[in-house]
Amino acid sequence: MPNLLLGKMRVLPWLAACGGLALAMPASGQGVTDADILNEAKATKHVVGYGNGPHQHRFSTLDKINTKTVKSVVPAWTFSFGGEKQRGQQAQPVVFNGRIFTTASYSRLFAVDVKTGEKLWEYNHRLPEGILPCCDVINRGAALFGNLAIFGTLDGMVVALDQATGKVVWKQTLGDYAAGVSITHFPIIAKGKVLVAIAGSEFGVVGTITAMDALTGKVVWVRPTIEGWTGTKDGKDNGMTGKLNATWPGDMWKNGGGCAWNGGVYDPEANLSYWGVGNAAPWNSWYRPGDNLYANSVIAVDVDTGKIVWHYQHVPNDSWDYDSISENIPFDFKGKDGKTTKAIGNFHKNGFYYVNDRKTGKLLLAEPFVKNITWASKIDLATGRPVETGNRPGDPAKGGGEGGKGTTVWTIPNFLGGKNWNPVAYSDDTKLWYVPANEWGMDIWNEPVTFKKGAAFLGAGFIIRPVFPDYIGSLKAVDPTTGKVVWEARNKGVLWGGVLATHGGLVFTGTPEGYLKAFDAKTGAELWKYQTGSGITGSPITWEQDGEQWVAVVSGWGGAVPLWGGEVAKSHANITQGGSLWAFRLPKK
Amino acid sequence: MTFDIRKPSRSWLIAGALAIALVPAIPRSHGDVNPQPVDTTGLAPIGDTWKATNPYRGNALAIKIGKSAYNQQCARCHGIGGVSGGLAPDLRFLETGDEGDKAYMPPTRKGVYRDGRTLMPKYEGVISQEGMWAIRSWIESVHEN
Repeated sequence: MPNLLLGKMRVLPWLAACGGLALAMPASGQGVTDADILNEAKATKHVVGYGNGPHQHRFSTLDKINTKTVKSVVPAWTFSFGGEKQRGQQAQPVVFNGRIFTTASYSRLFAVDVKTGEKLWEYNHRLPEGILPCCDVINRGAALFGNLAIFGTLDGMVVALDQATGKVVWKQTLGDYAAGVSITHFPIIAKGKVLVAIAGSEFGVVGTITAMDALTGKVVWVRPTIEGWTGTKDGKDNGMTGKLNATWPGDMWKNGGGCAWNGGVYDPEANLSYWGVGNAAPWNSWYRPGDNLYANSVIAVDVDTGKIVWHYQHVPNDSWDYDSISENIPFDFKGKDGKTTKAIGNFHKNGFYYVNDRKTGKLLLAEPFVKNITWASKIDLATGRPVETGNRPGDPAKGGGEGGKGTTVWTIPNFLGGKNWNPVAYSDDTKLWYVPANEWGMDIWNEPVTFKKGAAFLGAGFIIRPVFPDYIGSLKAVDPTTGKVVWEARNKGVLWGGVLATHGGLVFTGTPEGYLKAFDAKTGAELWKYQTGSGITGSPITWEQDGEQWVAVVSGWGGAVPLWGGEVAKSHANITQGGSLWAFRLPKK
Repeated sequence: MTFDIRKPSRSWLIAGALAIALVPAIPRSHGDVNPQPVDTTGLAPIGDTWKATNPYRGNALAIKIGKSAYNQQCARCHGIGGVSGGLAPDLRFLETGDEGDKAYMPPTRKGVYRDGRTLMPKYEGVISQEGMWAIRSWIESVHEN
């Protein structure tokens, strides 16, 4: 057995041995605690993590704003990000100790007085010239822990700032931005560690998940997501991911992609974190026959050991860019047989709703949540594998397309997905999922491709089109046991923001047309809307202050849809850019 | 160009066992010292001097190559098929001829970086000059007024 710890090997060369750049004393034990994070779903006076509790149900127990009173909701204040920087705003704000924090485009972080909307401080991360985010210069939010606010940047760093002063406390670099590494997801805090995954599969970047001490930034463990790569823990070898060349041929795993770019979910009971692993690279699957683990999979990573405990692959040998990045939400799944199982639910880019046992990964249910899926007729519950219809773009080596290309196929969903990054809500009251879905398809074909650092690594061409003439977006209420759509509220443009459900019987989400909307959670009736002046692609939150219920969301159109343009550009023409944080309340009595 | 998929030799097995996350992979293009993400085989090579105007104007092969290259390297900001979604400039409206060439080349080569913001990455060193002009040929072919 070869010695795996040769001195010549550089483990993550850009990580300093001392654990990154610490610019100030680590924070003391005050501030946000592990207990705050664990109890978040029941705590209404603050919002410290992604999704209102480690299980990320995005469900609030607040009900002063409810189906009767929501029609009276008004803005309390609005804050502009300014700085001659607009583009997409996809953050979920957080609230703690009188401050509301949100990230903004171009790796900025703002602290604002939560009562008045006045700016407290602003951090502008200095980004180098050559950043390569695939899908807009966005960020999905900062996590709070101790006295720190922690977020990922477009040049592949994680930065922690003091909540009170805005001064940088530590920084850590997780990858090479010139190779296409960026970080966009809301970091996950678990047992005093911050967990962050890198993005960049479109450039052939291989995915990693890194756990750092949240107060100091010191790297604890790194877990690569692609077979053949070896993880580390405390600087030492921590086992290979998978088995070399078990599911990847030759050296294709070396640029295999699989970035878990939309982050993960912490399950305190199981001591696990569930990560949605992105697409295999290149998009042209003919270069990489085999299942290509663990691309297009959910992996359960032990929070302490950094090892993969189980996995389930949604799309073996992906040829459609059907990333598995949708959030994996722990919930109690009541099966058709009446049995309840601790499970995770996932509304996948590929148009299927999956339920897996979260102890073993075993598939329990898989049902379509968008119309007219073409790539698979169903998911076989016995094998866990999709039953494909042959709807793959053809092999260029076999011709069939014009000069050098393979045959073109029409596929639903397209690579932007039946649902993309933007998270669902699960109501603990109605026991329904609320899913921001999109109905659209693509012509896709494959072409030859060569890897080169800094260039896109696809080997595919495509044209995206809506499926229906009058709408793309559809907010769907889905029964978790059957996958049946109970109601839907359609939208002309896509739905590209997160969803929030409340004990007040409401479901909130924003639209590209600029509206923050509230729907009746039981019926889908639209009960309230407010025009924020630019498209909303952020995730709304709600909290309580001075005995009143408030709601906040960021506004500012951008993201992948207006960048990829094409045929769907028509549904989003005339939407102007912006960049602001909005806070809403019931009128003062 | 076809991609040579080999069974791993023993040296690959050891390399795999020793591979640690984030060691950059060696660019692979079988038999080619300088891998190119845009394959311009069949177009007359340009050499090291940067042309001021498009040497492949109207060239059908260049347009075909450029269409594919645009879709993979440019469409993620400028829009599929040249149809912008409103954030990046719509290149269908770039002037044809020498005038458009002058506007096209500098940002493509050097990127656009203003006041701390990367508006466009640079492609010099990533795409060859031949590849850049092939993309320009395709952009001209979808020009609208």
